[in-house]
Amino acid sequence: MIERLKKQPKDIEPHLRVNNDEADDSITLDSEIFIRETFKQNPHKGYELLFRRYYRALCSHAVRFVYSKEVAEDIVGDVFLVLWKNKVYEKINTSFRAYLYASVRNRALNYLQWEFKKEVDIDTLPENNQNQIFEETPQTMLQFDELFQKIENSITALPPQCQRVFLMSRFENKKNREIADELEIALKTVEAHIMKALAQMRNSLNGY
Amino acid sequence: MNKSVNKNILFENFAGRATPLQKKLIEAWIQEPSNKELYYEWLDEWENQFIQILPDVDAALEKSLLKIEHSEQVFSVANQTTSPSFFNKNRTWFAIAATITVCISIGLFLGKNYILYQNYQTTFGEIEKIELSDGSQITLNANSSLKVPRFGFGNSIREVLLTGEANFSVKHTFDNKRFIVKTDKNFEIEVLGTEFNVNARQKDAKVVLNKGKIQLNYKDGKVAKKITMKPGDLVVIDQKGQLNLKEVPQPQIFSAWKEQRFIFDETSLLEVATMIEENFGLTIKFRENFLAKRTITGTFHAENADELLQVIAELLEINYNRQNNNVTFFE
Repeated sequence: MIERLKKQPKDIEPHLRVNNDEADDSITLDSEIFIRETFKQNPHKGYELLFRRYYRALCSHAVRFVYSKEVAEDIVGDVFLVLWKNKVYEKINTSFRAYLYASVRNRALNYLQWEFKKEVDIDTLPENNQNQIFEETPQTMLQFDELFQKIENSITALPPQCQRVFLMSRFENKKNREIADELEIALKTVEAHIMKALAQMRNSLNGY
Repeated sequence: MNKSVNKNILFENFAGRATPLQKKLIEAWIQEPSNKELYYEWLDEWENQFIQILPDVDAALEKSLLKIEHSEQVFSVANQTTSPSFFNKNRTWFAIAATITVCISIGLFLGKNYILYQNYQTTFGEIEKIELSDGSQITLNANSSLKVPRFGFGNSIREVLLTGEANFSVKHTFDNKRFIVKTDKNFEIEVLGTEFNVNARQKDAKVVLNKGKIQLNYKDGKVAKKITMKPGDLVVIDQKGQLNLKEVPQPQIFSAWKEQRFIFDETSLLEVATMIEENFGLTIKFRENFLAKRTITGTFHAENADELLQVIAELLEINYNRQNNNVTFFE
């Protein structure tokens, strides 16, 4: 960008700069303009396009928080369903991308709080069973970045065998018994490894 | 326009390598809405570059479209069974939906149950274990049936219909989907994740909670009421619909039938006889009426009705006579 600007004659530089800024903005929106237009004409088709465009990357993002492929896919699937059921595509005033990523993060945190803190109680649940929505501020956005890094670090720091067992359990859909047989270790050891990994994850959640 | 942050800094931040000062910079930078958009755009780009898992997008899309389709299709069906609060909020919608329901019911009257529900049925003396698509485990006792919607199960609520007796171990979903057990009696049970036993047979209905927390919705006359049960609670609903809650020290004995064990604690022979009638399809009579009042205490394992009858007879030192499905106890 700077190089491009340098090539322009000096006297029209300020004007061009303005144009360039506008161009930048429109590029940001442009990558979704086709999806938006499709939603207007045929919501089902728009939904399909949107799904194909973001599903994989969103799952990849969700998995950094929850460390389970199945849960990550459930979270992303639910976010898309909510978008459809609440007709979010009719009233959205940000990009779909910003909405989807923020929703996935929200839901992932809700899930973690449920799995590790068991704070969710039948009596305290709001009537409509909605997930808690965390207000999005620059600070919370960066906190989400820090949270998934903490979780990733806690898994990385596990002893190799423990990490292996944990990932087999969370990503290969294997029962503890199957893992024990495959690695030729005791069932109790498998359980201990998983408990340890979960305890590490729980620790990294402190303060969230 | 604040351009203090470029893609490199943000990528470093996502990778956990940004310095505290860079983080401050990013925080200030995101204040601008266009930069917030840029943040998510670059996050998406970063995720695409450093992908972690490879989900099957086609399969997921298909599943998602199916869920949408079903939630729209069963909209009318769901309305028949949703809670009263639904039509308070959406009166007009309910009226429209109700009309549709009528039309569908005429069209599908005969095959309706088959099309809409997966039906599990046990005969006398048979126990069946069922795992639902959400991972919940249900053990269906003898002479009972459980209906599970084929479509839309687990979309917004999970709902099953029970006649007879079953033990439920309900899996909690991360988004707290409600699980509701409807019965043909005038009560239903609403749960999150928990373990409990429901007996909704001909005589008194019983609900026993082993773990977690459930809510029992029932009707007192025409008034809808509800009570919350905690572990160890036993609720008995008699034929008149009267509700009676008491605490039992060992709630698990009420689901002992799962292991074909029968646990009696000062249980009258009349009650035992009723239980045998319901589970094994026998008709039991007493030649001498006072026999019905004698009580039994103990744990018995029995694979079939005959084994159980024998044990009881030996224990009470009485006799019985079985002809086909008719049993008579006598001294």
